[in-house]
Amino acid sequence: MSQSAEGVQIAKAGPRHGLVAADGRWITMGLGVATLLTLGLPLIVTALWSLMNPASGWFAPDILPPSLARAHWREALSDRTIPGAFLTSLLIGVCVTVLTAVLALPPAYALAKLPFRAKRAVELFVLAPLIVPGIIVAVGIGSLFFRLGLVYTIPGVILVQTIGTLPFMIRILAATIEGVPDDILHAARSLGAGPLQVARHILVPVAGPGFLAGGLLTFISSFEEFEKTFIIGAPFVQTLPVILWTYLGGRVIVFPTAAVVTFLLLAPMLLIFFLAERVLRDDVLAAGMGKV
Amino acid sequence: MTRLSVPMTAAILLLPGAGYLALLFGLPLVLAVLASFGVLTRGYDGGPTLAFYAELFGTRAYVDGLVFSTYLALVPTAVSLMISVPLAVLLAQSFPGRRLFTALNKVPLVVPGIVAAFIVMTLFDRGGTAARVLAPLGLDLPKLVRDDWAIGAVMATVWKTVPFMTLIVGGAMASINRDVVLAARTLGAGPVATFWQIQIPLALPGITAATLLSFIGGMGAFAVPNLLGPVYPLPLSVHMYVNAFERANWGLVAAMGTTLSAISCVVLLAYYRVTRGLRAAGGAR
Amino acid sequence: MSKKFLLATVVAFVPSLASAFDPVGGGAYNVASTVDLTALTPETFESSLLPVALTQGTIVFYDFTESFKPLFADNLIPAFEAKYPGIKVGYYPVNGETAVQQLIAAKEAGQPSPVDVFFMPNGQVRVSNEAGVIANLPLNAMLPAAPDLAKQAATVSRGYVHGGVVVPYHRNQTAIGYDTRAIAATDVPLTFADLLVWAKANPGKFAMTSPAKGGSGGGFLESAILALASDDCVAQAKDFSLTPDQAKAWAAGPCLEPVMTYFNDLKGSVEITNGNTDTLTLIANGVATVGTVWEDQTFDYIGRGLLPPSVRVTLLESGQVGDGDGIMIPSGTERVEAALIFVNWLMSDEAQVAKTSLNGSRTARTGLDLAGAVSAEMADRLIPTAVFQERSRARIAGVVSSAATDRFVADVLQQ
Repeated sequence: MSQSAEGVQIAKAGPRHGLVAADGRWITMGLGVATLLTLGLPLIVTALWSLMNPASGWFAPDILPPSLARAHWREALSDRTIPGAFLTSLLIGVCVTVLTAVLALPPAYALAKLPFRAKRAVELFVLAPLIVPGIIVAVGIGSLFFRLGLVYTIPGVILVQTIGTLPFMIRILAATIEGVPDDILHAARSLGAGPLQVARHILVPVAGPGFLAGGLLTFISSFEEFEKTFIIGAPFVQTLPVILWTYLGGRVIVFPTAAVVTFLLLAPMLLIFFLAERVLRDDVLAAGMGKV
Repeated sequence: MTRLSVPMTAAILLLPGAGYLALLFGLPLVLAVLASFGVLTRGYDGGPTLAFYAELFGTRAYVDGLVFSTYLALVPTAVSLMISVPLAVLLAQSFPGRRLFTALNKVPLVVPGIVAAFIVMTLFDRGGTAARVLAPLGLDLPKLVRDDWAIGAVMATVWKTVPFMTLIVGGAMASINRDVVLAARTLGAGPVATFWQIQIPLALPGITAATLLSFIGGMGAFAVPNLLGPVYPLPLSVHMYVNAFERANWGLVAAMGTTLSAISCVVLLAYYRVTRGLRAAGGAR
Repeated sequence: MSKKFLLATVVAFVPSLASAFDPVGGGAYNVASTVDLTALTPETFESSLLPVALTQGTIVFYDFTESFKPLFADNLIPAFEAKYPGIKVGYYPVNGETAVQQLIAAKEAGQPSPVDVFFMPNGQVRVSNEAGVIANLPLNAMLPAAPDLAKQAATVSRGYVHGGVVVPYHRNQTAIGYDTRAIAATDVPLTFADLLVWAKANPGKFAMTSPAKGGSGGGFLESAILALASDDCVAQAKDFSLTPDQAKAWAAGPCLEPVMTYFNDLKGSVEITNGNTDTLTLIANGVATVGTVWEDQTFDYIGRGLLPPSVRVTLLESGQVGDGDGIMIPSGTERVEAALIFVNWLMSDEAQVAKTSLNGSRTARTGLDLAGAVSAEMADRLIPTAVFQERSRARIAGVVSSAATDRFVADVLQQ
C-alpha cells in the first residue's frame, strides 16, 4: 500500500470521514466518464478499423463499418517472425532498462543533491540526446558503432538504445531524489554508512516510484525504438518495431494494419506494466517505508 | 578515510551516465554542430561558412516553421500540465478502482504517435466519424484538422503527453514526505489549500522534469503535426526531413537541428530561472 | 549447361556484336567483384556471374514498399530460388529513409554494406548516390533481361540524373482521381482551365495535395508548369544539368508567373491537404470529389477497401508527370555477382508480368506487352491505356521542382 493511500485512510478516520468516502465514489465516477471518452472511444474506433472488411470498406456516411472481417488480423498474425521478434524486444527492453537505471542513479544523485559549478551545462548535455533531432546525429552514431564493431548484435542495440533512454531516467530520478529530505541522507552518512549502502538502503527504496516511472518509460521507449535499432541491428537483430515498421511506415499509412499492430504492441506492454507494478511497487515501497 | 571534495565527488558520480553519453553521443553531436558551419559537411566542401544559417533565417517558411515548432512544444505542454498535475494528485487518493485507472492511464504511452494522429484524423477530419454522427442533427464541427491553430495536432499530442506527465509527477509526488500533507489536512487545511500550498511546491521537481521532457519532445515533433497540422507553416522538423532526404542539403539540416537545440536550451534555462523562487521555497521546507 | 557454354564460346568469337560496359560516371567500379565487370557483355553476363553467385549463399534484399510484400515474399523470391538453386534471398521490408542512413553509416565507417539489393524510394536516389552508397553499375544497359528500358526512366529518378545505377523496377503516375458516386466520368474537368471553373463551382470538393507534402501535389505543380509556362521556360525546366542555385533563379523569375496566378486563383476553392494519403482520405470521407493522386496508391487503396470501388483515375489533357521507383546494388556489397543475377531476373519478362498481374504495377520495359496481365477489375482501377500512352509525361529537373515548390509555398500558401 502506498503512503498516499495510507495518508487518506488516516484522514478518513478523522472528522471528514463522510465527505472523503463520498469523494472516493465521485473520483471513480468522474475518472470513469473521462476514461471512457478519452480512451474508450479512441480504442473502439481503432478496434473497428482493425476489423474493417476490405471487401466492403468503411466510407461516409456510414458511422459504423457495414461489415467486419478478420483479414488484417490474420495477415499480421500469419507473420511467423513476430513471436521471435517479441522475445528479442523483451530481452533488449529489460537489459536497456537495467543498464539505464544503473548508469543513471549516480549522476541523478549528483544533479539533485550536490552543489557544483556548471551544473546547468551538465544537465543540458545529459538531455542532449533528447534535444538534438535524431536525424542529424543518426549517421554519426551509426558510423561510430560500425567503427567500434558493435553492429548486428543484441549488445550493440542495447548500447545504442541506452543513449536515448539515459536522459529520461537521469532527469526523472534526479527529480525524485530532490524530494528526498537531506536529513535522512546526512543521518545515514554520519552513522557511518558508505555511499553504496546509502544508495542501496535509502536512495533506491525512497526513489522507488521514480525508478518505476523512469523504468516504465525506458522500457517503452526501448520497446518502440525504431531508427537507431534498425541502423545498428538490421537485418540481423529483428525487434518488433523493426519488423512491424512497414505497417506503421510514415510514407503510406494503412490504418487497419496499423490498428492491428497497435493492439499487438499494447497487449504485452499492459501485461508487463501490470506485473512490474505488482512486483516493484509493493516490495520496493514496503522496504523503503520501513527505512524511513 | 579522507573525504573527497564536492566537485570531485560530483565528477565521479557524473561519470557513468554523462561519461557514457560523452563517449557515444558527444562525437556525433560535435560533428553535427560543425556541419552546420560548413566544416566536414556531407556534400559540401566550400570551407567554413555561415551560409546555412543565413539560408535558414533568410527563408520565411523556415522562420515560421521555427516559431511553429516552438508553438507545438509550448501549447501541448501547458495544456497537458494543467490536466496531469491534478490527475496525479487524484490518482494518489484512495478510491474504488484506483489500480485499474492507474493502469488504463498508461495505455496512450504505448500507442504509437502516428496511430494517435490517425485516430484524431478518422474522428475529427471533415467527413470523419464525428461529422457523420453530427450531420443528421444539422450540426457541423469546426475545422480541427489542417486548421491554423493545429488543434487536431495539439489534441493528439496532449493525449500522448498527459499519461507521460502524470506518470512522472505521480512518481515524484509519491516519494515526498507524506507527513507534511497529512499534518496539513489534520490541522484543518482543505484539499484545495493543501494542493496549492503543500503538494505543488513539494512536487515541483517532478513537475519540472515532466515539463522539460514534454517540451523537448514537442520541439522535435514530426509525425503528428505532419499528418494533422496546417499545410503552412510546417514545423522545422518536417523541413529538416525534406532537406536531408530529398535535397541532400545536409548543412542546412545541421543548422536547423542546431537552432532547434539552442532554442530548447534557452527555454530550459529560462524555465529554471522563472521557477527558481518556487524551488527555493520548496527546498527550504 | 553445355549449351550455355557453347553460346559463351560463340560470343567470344564475335566481340564486335556486344560491347563491354563501363562504370557510370567513368573511373573504376566502386564495388568489389571477383569477376572482371568491365569485360562483362549481355551474352557473358550469366555465364560469368553465376558460378561465383552460387558460392555466395544468401543475399539480403531490402524492400521499402508497403504493398509489394506478397509479390516478393510469396511469388517472386520462391520462383527465383527455384530457378537458381543455390542462391537464397533474405527478404526484409524496411523503411527506405532509415535504410539509406544505415548504408551511409556503414560506408562512412568503411564497412561492408549489410544489404545486397535494395528496392529504394526514388526520393532517396540523389542522397544515396551523392553519398556514394550506390554501385556505379550501368544497370540501364548491362542487364540482358531488360534491353528495352524506356530511356529517361532508366537514367533519371525524380528529376535527378543518376545515369543508370538504379534500374526502374516499378513505374507510377500522378493523376486526377474522382469518385463516380459524386461526378460522372464525362463531367470530370480535364484541363487546368476547366478544373478552375469546376473548383469554383464546387468549393472544397477538389482536394489538392500540397506540393511540399506529397508527390501527387508536386507532380500536379510540375504538370501545371508544363501546361502553363512558356515553351522556353519548360525547356529550361527540363535541363537536368541545372544547379540548385540556377533552379532557384529560374523559379524566382517570370517563368512561374502564370502558374502562381493560376494557383492563387484556385486556392480559395480547394482543400490543400497534408499528403497523398490525406487527399485519398477526403475522397473516402465523401468530402472531396476530385483530387490529385498517385495511380499506384489509388489502385492499392481500392484493393484494400480504403477507397470506394467507385473511384477512378485519369490524366489531364495537357499531360501529367509520371515517375517510378527502382532497384540498386549498394557499392558496399560483398555479393555483387549474386545481386546482379537477382536484379536481372527481377527485370525479366516473367517477373515483370507477375508484378503487373499481382500489383497493377507498370513496367519500364517498352517491348513488353502487358495487356493480358491485367484483369478487367484491375483495369478499372488503372488509368485507361490509351489515355496513359497519350498523356503521361516525364518529370522536369528535380532541382527546378524543389525550387518551384518553395515558390509555391511563398507565393500561394504564405499569403
